[in-house]
Parts: sequence; C-alpha cells; structure tokens
Amino acid sequence: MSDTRDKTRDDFDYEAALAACARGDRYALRAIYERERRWLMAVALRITRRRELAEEVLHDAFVQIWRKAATFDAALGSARGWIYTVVRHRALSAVRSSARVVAVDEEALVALADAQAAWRAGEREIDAGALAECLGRLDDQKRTCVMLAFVDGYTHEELAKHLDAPLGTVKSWIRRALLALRECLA
Amino acid sequence: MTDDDRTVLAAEYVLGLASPADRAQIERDLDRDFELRRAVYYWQDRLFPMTRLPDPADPSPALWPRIEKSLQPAGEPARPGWWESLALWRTVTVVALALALALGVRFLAPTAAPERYLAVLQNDQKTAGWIVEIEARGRVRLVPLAATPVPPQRALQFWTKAPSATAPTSLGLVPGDRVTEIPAARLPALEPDTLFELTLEPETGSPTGRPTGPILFVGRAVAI
Repeated sequence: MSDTRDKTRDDFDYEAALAACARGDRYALRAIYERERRWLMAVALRITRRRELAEEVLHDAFVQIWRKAATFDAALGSARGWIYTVVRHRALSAVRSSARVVAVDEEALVALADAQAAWRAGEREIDAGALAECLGRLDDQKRTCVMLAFVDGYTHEELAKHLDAPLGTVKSWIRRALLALRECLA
Repeated sequence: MTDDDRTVLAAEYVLGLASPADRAQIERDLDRDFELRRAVYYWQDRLFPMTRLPDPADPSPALWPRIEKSLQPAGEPARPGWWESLALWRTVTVVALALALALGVRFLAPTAAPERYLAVLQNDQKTAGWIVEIEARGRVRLVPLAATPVPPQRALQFWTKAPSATAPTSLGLVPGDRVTEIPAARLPALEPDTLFELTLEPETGSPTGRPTGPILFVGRAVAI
C-alpha cells in the first residue's frame, strides 16, 4: 500500500463521519464503509470463517451503525473503536454455536508492532506498539487467551479446551491478564 | 462493583467473552452507567490494534448496494413535521394565491417561493464554522466564521444536495479563510432543507465527483 493511501486513511475523520450518519448522511456511512471494508471483512471473516456469513455480518453491522450512530459518545473514545466493536459483536453472535480450531500465530505480536505505522490517526493515536509490548509481557497462556478471544472470537469454554486447562483457571488467567494489561497500558 | 470488576467486565464485553445474558445486561447498563461506558470505550480503543492482525479481504462489490437498500425501508426518509412538507407549503401557497386573486389583492410577493435562504454549517462538535447565504436569483455566498485550516495537498470542496436530488453536486473547491461567491444558477435545485457541506478532498478535488473525504461542516438551508 502506498504512502498516499495510508495518509488518506489516517486523515479520515471517523468521528465526523459517524456524526454525519446520525444526521442521516448516507455518504458518510459509505465513506466509512469504503475506508474500512477490507479490514472489517478481515475481522468478520477471521471470526466467522465463511465469506457469505462474514458479508451478512457486515451488512447487519452497517445497518446497526447507521441506526445507532447517535449513541456514539465522542467524549469517551474513537469512532473507529466503536465501529469495530459493533462488527465484532455481530460476528460473534453469528458463530457462537460452531466450533473452530485456530492457533495463535507466533508472528502475530511482531505483525502487531510492525503495523503501528499503518494507523497513526491524528489526535486519537492508537498505540499498537504499547499493546504489543504489554501483550508481550503476559505469560504465554494469558496472552493466548486475550488474542484468541479478540481475534478469533473464542469463548471461555473454547479457550479451556484449546489450552487443555480447567474453565475456572482460564477465567482467572483472563481476569489477571486484563488487569495487568490495564496497568501496563496506563 | 469495584474498579477492577468493572475493568474486567468491560474488557470481557469488548473481547466478546461475556455470556449472551451478561452481554444483554451490559448493553442495557451502558446507557445509564457512565463509568462502565467509559471502561468499554477504553478497551475498544486499547485493543483496537488487534483488528489489524487478520489479512485484509475484499467483500463482494454487491455488498454495499445491499447495505444501502436496508438503510431506509421505504425509499425517501420520512419527513417528521408538517412544517417540513414542501407539498403542504405548495398547497398553502396556491390557496393563498387563489384567495389573494379572489380578493383582488395584487401584491403577491409574500406568498411566492422564498427568495432567500440561509444555512449554518456546523462541525461534528455542533460548532458553527460557515454561513451560506443564498439569493435565489442572485448569488450563493459562503462565509467563514473562522478560518478552516487546510492541510498541504488537500483542498476544501463545497457541495450541495437538495432533498429531491439523489447525489450531491460539487460547487467547487473553496479557500478555507475567505468568502466565496457562486452564481445561484449553479445550484441544481434550491428547496428548503437543501444540504450544504464542506469536505476535505485531494488537492485537485474529489476524484469521483462525490464526496470522498471527511465532512468538516454540514448544514441545511432554511428560507428567510
């Protein structure tokens, strides 16, 4: 991807676009879609593992983004974070019954750090380096839990099975992982 | 609930680890629990970088048209108030005109279509940044209330879209710190509620003929 395209994406004002959606401006929703569709599709596809289901997820999520744009609270965080939560939750609802087998890519953390440059976003900079570093400080099981849950949509039960650990242990790993992440990211 | 409990609850909600019942409960609580809402926004931004881990993939080109079709179930958006109904005002004008004629009143100007419109363009913080003054048979004046900074290699593009139009029309690139005047004849249509907006586009303007960049300011025309 060229520098110019990265720059264009970084300059996009997601908060303004979401506010425009709340006012009924379809072009603003379209603009969000055009800028994020490949990444949103990636997220939905990774969780659902099926193209047609991933597209169904994107369809439903964009209708929801359109309807709920007014509930986005710009004082608390980024519009892009909000949009991805909508899409990820849709994807999770769509697949919660089916079983999936996926392994965490060992190179994922490196990819995460490398990707930092790709989404510097003005005043709402999202620091991928910090997240990668803090995830890197967790022990393997805890990191695997957080990443498999976020990226692949694993449930507690699926994590317990994948890691061959009791459910209660997995739940406590996750709790400790999240508190450690908060402290590290502060 | 302790601070730690709230942190974990919000993070598990964002991760997708909350059970369906918990998730529904959290979504109900989000509206009224500010601290919980803040924690959820915190996590969705902090964990966001992980959304870049899967390889990008193209959805089918047919997806957007399908989404757009689902946005409004029945064609045009419903007009909420009677005062916004152009048809009603046309009727009122016709009745007033007939009445005036019947009464032998010759001065009809007050019942004619509005001659002047005003639009206040606001940013997403609802701060007014620009005023658009339109004289139906004269000029459109775009007046900055404060200078809008334009980054290098970018330009401000001015757009209009009447409620009856299917797409916005470009009124050209404009400077961010000066008044721009355009003949009103350039407007494809001029009706109450006509939308005016300023978007940030590449230096030579939108390559597609439609807004592609962020909407910096937007507002609707009202008759004055």
